[in-house]
Amino acid sequence: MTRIFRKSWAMLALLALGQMVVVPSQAHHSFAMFDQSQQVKLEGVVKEFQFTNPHSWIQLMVVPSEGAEAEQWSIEALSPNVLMRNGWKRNTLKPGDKISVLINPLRDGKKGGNLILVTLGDGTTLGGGA
Amino acid sequence: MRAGSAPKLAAAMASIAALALAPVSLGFAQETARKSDPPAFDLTGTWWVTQPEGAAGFKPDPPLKPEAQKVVDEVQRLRAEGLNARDKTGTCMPPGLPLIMTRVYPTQIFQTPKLITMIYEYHNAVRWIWMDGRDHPQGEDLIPTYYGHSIGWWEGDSLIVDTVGMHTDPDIQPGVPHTEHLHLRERIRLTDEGFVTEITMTDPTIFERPWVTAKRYKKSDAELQEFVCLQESNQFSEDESGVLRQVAPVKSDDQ
Repeated sequence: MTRIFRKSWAMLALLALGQMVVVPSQAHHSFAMFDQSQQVKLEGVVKEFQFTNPHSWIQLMVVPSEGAEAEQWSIEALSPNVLMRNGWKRNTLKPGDKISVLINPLRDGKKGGNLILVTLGDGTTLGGGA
Repeated sequence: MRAGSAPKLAAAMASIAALALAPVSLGFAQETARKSDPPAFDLTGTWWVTQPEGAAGFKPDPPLKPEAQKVVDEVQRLRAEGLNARDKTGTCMPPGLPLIMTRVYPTQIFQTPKLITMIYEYHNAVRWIWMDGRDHPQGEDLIPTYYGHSIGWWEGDSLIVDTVGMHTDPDIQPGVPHTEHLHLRERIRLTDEGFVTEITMTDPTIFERPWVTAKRYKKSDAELQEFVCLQESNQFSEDESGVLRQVAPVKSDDQ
């Protein structure tokens, strides 16, 4: 089932990942546009994974509520240089993969955010952003 | 005023540009034929700037003149609204010096007697520090570049690096502008974990007094990887008031 919820388990995951996440200077722009006081967990299906500099992007299709039409979220992650050092590969995400992501959402309410971590279908968790 | 427009930024920068036209005495211009001590160490290898001071700019905060403070205040006001202003690397423009020192990516250094080359993974940037006794180009021969013109020499246990000619396009850190008179003097020394560069920045139009800051580096076994900032995959552009806007988040058009 695909849905959106906000939970504090995310903080535990963050603590577990330690300094691997929260490294804003590995970004090439400031993170003012993201609401870093909020964390949102999304579950969805990968539409597209852009493993590119300066930043990588996940286009994720998310069903907001049961029976509703899927909405596209644009999730920004760090550069391939940083992600590869965090264990990512170019094919870590493929179209059709069911994943969950934890993000800092955009402040302006649009469907987007900055990736904190991703959980793959097999349960693997990778730090992905800042 | 519509949300996020920044006319105050443009006005503040115009007054800085006018002030920067006034002649200033640049103390480094007449220094020639420096005597250099023997090399005190070899920086050849790969290094990583340490956290947390490596992140998010230079500390402590700069001693700004009132006109420059207006620019900083306006950028911070916009940031509180969730808007990135004066953050040109967000549009794939080169970070230049000294901003590149605030990025947490590895740096590979090759030291030879007459030239020290620094390769920054971030933006595939290269910096050449001439150790052969030459001076900076003067007047019309000094062409602004993103990483400036650097010369170096040895003083006891320190490597001194002097840099001028930095392009004014990128800020020192987002929101802290500089003029063509920005001058960096670095004193690099070994530490227990690597090296430290103490940086003294001067720019008479921007700073009340020299801004003294530092970056520390640790030895790293990282291998550098290519980092080309692709305009095509970048999703931000700068509007006329200097604010970054996200453009077309979706590359494919089948949605």
